[in-house]
Amino acid sequence: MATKTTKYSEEELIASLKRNQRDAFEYLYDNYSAALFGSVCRYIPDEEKSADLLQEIFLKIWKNIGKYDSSKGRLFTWMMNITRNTCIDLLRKEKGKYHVDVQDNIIQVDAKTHHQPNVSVMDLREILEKLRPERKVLLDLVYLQGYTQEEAAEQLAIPLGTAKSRIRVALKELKIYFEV
Amino acid sequence: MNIQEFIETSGVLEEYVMGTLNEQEQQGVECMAQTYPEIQTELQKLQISLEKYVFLHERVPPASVKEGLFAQMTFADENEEESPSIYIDDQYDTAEAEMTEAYIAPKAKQVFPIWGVASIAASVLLLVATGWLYTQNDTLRETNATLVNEVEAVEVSNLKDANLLAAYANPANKIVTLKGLDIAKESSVTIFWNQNNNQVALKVNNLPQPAADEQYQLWTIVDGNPVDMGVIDNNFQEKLLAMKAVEGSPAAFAITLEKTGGSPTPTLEEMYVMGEV
Repeated sequence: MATKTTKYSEEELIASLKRNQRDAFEYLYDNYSAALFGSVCRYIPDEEKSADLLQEIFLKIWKNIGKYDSSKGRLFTWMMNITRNTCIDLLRKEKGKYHVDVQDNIIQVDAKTHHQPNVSVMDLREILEKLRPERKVLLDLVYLQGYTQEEAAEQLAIPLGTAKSRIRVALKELKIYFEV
Repeated sequence: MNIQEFIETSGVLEEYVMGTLNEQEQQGVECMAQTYPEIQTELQKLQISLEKYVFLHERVPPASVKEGLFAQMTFADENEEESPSIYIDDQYDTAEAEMTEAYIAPKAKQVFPIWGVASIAASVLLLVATGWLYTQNDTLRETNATLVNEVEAVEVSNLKDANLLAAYANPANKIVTLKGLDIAKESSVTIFWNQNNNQVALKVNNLPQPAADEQYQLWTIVDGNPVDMGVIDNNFQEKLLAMKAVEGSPAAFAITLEKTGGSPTPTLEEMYVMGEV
């Protein structure tokens, strides 16, 4: 995780990023790259390609930080949107190349999560076990893998309305588990 | 529109943070968030939840990524000539094209074309209308249920009235009005005595409500002797009650107050109404 000792509040970080300061971008990379990379790997199981994409994503973040407007949402949400769109673009461009069956993908990617998460993450993982699998799978497909709700519903062979309501319940549960 | 209800039940905010709304809908939510602090707060909560969720799926990228990345970047404190703003201008078209899809936050000073403003306004209106319709739908559902109950009540009472009217209208019926005695002068009961089959029905117009362990009992006086005609259900209001059939030639009808279930002989001190045939 973080290699620098400098600690930023979200406001300070954004201000420093907008001033294009190296320390801020290093901090951003050190603290957020693993989270974004975890998501990229869900889209593209090829690790080398994922690494290239992560680089592309961070370059986009760097180039476009001036356009980020904190009143419209959190920095991380904005970065996740860039991540999602970059990955979907690639999947569209190289259609078929990275196609992986939904279930396979989930198992495969989870199995590849080989780095040791820190203790607090372990605790949170336990919390997550409580999330019902049929809801978690939808959350992952749509939020981490960029499926539209329609595609996710089709993949799982459930009605769209069911998919939507499961996602809603999953989010409500997350709010409770994380005590947000 | 009830904002709290909109937040909890519309599902729109969840779709917003999941990134599943289209661009116009997104802008609609952003407009609403600026108008309603509650929506802003909820969006923050949802975003933080998802953020924490994503952090559970962390994977450390290869170290080479960081090196390669920072080698391509220049920073304000190092090289002024190649600041990213110039970079953006050079590649304006591609960068902009990529970003229209990628980013949710338009530049602060961006001028929206008139159709854009109109469509945002339309989205907001749609959202507001959806919320309003939702509330409205609930209200209507409640009103509907109330109306159904009322209609049922009216139908039942109508049926009772119809029965009562039929009882009055039936030419076979002999109508005997029992009048209140000293014990309760306001009391009044109407007897319908069918002369063809001797069936008797009665309608309580007014009688004091009996205690839980008491019941009114109808009697006929035949040849000077009281004959039991059955007890009257305590829930007698507005009903046409069927009693036992008349035997013999009664001279009068009377009602006394007895213990629940009735008595073999009337308690004369507790006689409430009487009417001669």
